[in-house]
Amino acid sequence: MNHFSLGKKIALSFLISSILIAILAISAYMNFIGMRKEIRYLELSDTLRSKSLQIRRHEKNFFLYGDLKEIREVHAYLRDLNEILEVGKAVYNTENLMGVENKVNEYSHRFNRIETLFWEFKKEFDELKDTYYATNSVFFPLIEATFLERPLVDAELLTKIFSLKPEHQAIKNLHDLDTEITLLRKDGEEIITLSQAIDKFAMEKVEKSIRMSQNALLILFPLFLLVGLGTLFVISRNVVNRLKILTSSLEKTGRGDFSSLSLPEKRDEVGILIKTFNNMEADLIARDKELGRKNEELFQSRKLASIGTLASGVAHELNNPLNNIYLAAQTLSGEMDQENYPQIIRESVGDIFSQAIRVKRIVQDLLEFTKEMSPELKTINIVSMIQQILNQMTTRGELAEIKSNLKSLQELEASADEHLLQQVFINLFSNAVEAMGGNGLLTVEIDTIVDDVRIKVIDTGKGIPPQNIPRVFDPFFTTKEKGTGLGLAIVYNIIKRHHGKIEVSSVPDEGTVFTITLPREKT
Amino acid sequence: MKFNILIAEDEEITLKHLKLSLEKEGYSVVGVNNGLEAWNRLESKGYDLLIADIKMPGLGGLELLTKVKEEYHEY
Repeated sequence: MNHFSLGKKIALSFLISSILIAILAISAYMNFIGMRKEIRYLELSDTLRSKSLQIRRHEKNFFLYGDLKEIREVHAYLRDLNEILEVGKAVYNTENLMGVENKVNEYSHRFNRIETLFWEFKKEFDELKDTYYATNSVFFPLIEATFLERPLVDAELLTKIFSLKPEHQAIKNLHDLDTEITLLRKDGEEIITLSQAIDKFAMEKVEKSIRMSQNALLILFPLFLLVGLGTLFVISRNVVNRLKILTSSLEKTGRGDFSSLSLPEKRDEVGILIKTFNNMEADLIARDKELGRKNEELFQSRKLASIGTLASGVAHELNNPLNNIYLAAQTLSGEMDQENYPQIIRESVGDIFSQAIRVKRIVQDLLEFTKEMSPELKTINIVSMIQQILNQMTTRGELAEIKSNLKSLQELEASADEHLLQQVFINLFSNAVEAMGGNGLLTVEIDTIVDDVRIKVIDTGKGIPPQNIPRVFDPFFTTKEKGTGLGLAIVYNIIKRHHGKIEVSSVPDEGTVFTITLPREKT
Repeated sequence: MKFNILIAEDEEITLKHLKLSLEKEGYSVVGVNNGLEAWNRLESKGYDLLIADIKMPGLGGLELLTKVKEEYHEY
């Protein structure tokens, strides 16, 4: 679920809860409908049972007292039963109802037959009465009252008293009555049994419906609770905890202690918040670093400025006495040429002279470096200027065995101070020549990028060790035995004053590339 | 014929060695310590070349040159 946003999670949980409630409601509704049907069925079966019992009561009364009213009652109840069954069958159409209907039909049929037999016997009995009433009147009321209750006993009595043959219609009728009554009783019994079974069945169905409702509640409600609690748990664990961590981190940030949060990445709203926070922290860290770097730079440049002031003062103070030493040494060495002086004196004077020249150069560099210069911008042709410098160096033999190669597509003009720019390239070329140790290829590539001129000075020299790269433009940084460490610092200053850029890249033992970018127009 | 050179330089040692070097080359050299003295000298005698320090007490080299250019059009 990690890829779900918080909103989606809440929506999903709500959806699941809604579905659960809907299922619960629908199942309850269906159950109620079912239950209503079952209760009606129960009502029906109850009526069925009571009507059946009524029929049996009237049937029994009829057989006991032979009251004709009872026959009407039985017929009335049979009609009732048929009506109820008709209605019930239309709605429920169950096997049990069909069974009851069959039995009721059978019962009805049999009852009709008994009724026929009853009247037939009555007719025969009346005939016997007409024949034998005068001689034997005692038995007639007894038989008339009991022939439905004990047909076989009465048949035997008739046979004996009136010497009737078994084939006599009355006897046959009594025998048939006995058979039919026995069967009718059995049918009645079965109707009662079946209606009781229907009753029981309906009861069971109602109970089943109630149980189903209970079960649905018991299953769905805990599920509902589980979903709700699960959502709550997810939100509190994922959101609240992370927000707490975020809050403490924010407090830390407020105190100036920047650190990004390393929480497992989640693509929900809080995850996005944490990501944004981390981005902000990264920005702050970068800005803090940048600020530190700027501070360091400012400190460095202030340090350099004070060094510069000191160096400038020292250089100015040294310049005059140094000049005097130089002149004196020159005078002396002039004298040496004419007279024959001991070797040691001549060498010493020579040393004084050469060392004076060396110090003069250092002082000159220092003065150059500390000079407040504002470039006098003129439109100059960079390509021909560089070509001139290369030519001069070649003429003077400063390139030794080094071949030079100037690559430029066209004559390029730029706004620059010619004298200062010359110094830049003389310094760079001198460095390159020194790095190559008198043998190699010095390439100068000039092209344009948008509004800038780009000049690459490429040598095939010994290169600069990577750890020295950041310091090459620092004043007084040198790896040369006789360097002042000011050459590239001067170059850097001049380019900066032209609002340009200088970069260096180098591979040890393969060579170094200085890339200068200068704006073509006055800025 | 010897060329006459006038040097104006406040630094004694510098003046001395410049004078020596130039005299060795065969020039007639006169050295003075400041611009005003040089100006006075120029009035009394014609020189072929004037070498002057820029920074000097009183009359500096650049001012001296301006004065000379104003006064002596022939130079």
